[in-house]
Amino acid sequence: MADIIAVRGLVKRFGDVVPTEVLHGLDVSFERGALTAVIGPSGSGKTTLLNIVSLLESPTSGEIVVDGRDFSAGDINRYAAYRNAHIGFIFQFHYLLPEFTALENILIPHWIGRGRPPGAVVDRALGLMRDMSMLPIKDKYPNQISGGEQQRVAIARALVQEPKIVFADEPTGNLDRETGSAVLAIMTRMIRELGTTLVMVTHDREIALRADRILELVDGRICKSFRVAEKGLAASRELLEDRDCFVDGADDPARKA
Amino acid sequence: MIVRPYETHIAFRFLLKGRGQTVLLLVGIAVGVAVQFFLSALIGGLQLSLIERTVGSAPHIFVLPPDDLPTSLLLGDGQAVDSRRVPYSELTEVLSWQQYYDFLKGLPAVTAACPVAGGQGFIERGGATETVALKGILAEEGARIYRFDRNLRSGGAELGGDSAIVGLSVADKLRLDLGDRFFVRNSKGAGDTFTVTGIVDLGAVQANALVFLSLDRARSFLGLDGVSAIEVRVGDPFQAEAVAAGLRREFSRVKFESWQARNQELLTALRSQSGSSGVIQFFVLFAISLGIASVLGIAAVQKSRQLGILKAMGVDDRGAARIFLIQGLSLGVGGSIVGIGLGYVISSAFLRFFGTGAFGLKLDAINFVVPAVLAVAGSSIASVIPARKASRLTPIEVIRNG
Repeated sequence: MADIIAVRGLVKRFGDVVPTEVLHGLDVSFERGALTAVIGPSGSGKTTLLNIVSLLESPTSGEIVVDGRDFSAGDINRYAAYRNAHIGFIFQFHYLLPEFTALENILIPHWIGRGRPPGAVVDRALGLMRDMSMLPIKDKYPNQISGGEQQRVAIARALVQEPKIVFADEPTGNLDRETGSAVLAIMTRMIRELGTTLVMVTHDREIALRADRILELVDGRICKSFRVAEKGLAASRELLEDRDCFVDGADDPARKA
Repeated sequence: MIVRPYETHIAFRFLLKGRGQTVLLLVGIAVGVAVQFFLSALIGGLQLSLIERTVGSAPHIFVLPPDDLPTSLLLGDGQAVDSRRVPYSELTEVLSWQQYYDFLKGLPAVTAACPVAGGQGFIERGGATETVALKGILAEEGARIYRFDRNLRSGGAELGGDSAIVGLSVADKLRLDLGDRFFVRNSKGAGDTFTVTGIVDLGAVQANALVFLSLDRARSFLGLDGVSAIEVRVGDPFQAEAVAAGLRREFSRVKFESWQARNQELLTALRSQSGSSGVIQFFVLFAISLGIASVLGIAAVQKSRQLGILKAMGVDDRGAARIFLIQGLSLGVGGSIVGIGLGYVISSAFLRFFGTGAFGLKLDAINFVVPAVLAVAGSSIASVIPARKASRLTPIEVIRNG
């Protein structure tokens, strides 16, 4: 499978007076149609990596190619239209607009990109809601539905434009374990059905193990990278427990090149 | 500026759902617009009535004999001063008035011109003596200047022979009625008798002390060779001074005085009244704009999370800014419409409960348009602050800080 995102020599520094380098020349790529979990301790740079590859934040230096287009330079405001058309976002907090109903919230990306949604798009949104058992709440406002339902609305909102890539940052971090698990199941099912690429940041190893591939960052460098299916669940779990770094041969940038 | 559909979609929803806040802002703008509208309608009406009272039934330009010319006190070579001689020449008449009269009648700006013979008179009646201003006029022209068509209380506008049209206060004081005869003495002591054929109300106290006679009869009674003035009315009273200035360039032997020159104080008062009402209106608008800026500013901060996700989902900086500009603009438009309605209601109520009928409101289009335009402009400018805030926000800072 070809890579949909390719990053070379990614450096990100924060602060002008006391610069802190969060990412130190990272080389990483993400496969088209795969579910990749990015894990790592806090401060490892996993969220920063996600923000940069999702075109929400510009890198200090380095090369970013998303679906064959170079996004290495320029300010993120210029990529707004691209994000709208091709990228879906699911954050830890749903950030639904309280002024709009569940269905209207799902249609907002279409409003932004292409204006008033035609019937076919509304039907698609309703289809997503049906698939996620949300039809009864379609006309409710965010403050009238539960946390799990809110996050499912956010997932449907991320998928309504049929994006190439969905980025999720701790998508279940704000939910209790049971609800989180259910929401995650729905999310992965929907994304697999649509054949969309998912890049998900999580601190939860059990959640990570549901992905196709796990990428662990430590101190702004890749520490582990392997495919769960290739290693098997038990071995993958052991690899995660292991303190030593392990980069699978296929992911070794030196060998790849 | 191309407004994309989502900008209005989101802006209107923000306004609709932030109902309490929107209503407060709308009421604020509406009250401001209503006050401005009311003030300008009231002051405009007051000024109109003051001006109408001054020039509505009165001449706009007076053609008068020249100012007194100084003459030498010395009689000639080595001669002493002649103490019997007054040190200026007294010319109280316009002698060649026909020339001016013909010229004025030919001017397109002039709607009426009338030679007048004026002087003091003393009416003696029932032992009382009342000082009046006698004014001999040409019946037709004078009627046009003093608007007899609408000011005549009783009787007719015709003048001739011993007929007289008396001002209302003269008629009241001396209890003169139509058909009554009265005896007048001039300043030299000669007397004559006239008959009341009309009673006229000219609106102002001074004007109502006038007694109108026919020009010929007045000239002979007052002993005038010429006339004491030519009185002129022009189409637009505010052009009177300009017309007078033009006449001054044409003729130098007589004096042209406009009503403006005679009523400097009134005009200054009106100007400062307009000025102070302008200042009040400016501060009302200023306070409203501050209110909008702060309320929408708070709204922008409250909605920063939503703005963050909207920006992640493809709203660019301009779009985010316009969501707030549209809100400001809509508040301005909505508030103006409500405000004009409110202003109209307040004005009508004011007239009903406090109005004396002495003056009305000036309900010109300008009184609607100016406060509305100012309110729309003010609230749009006020929304620039939250718009900038929304524009500068990055999705990352929202996501990072939760």
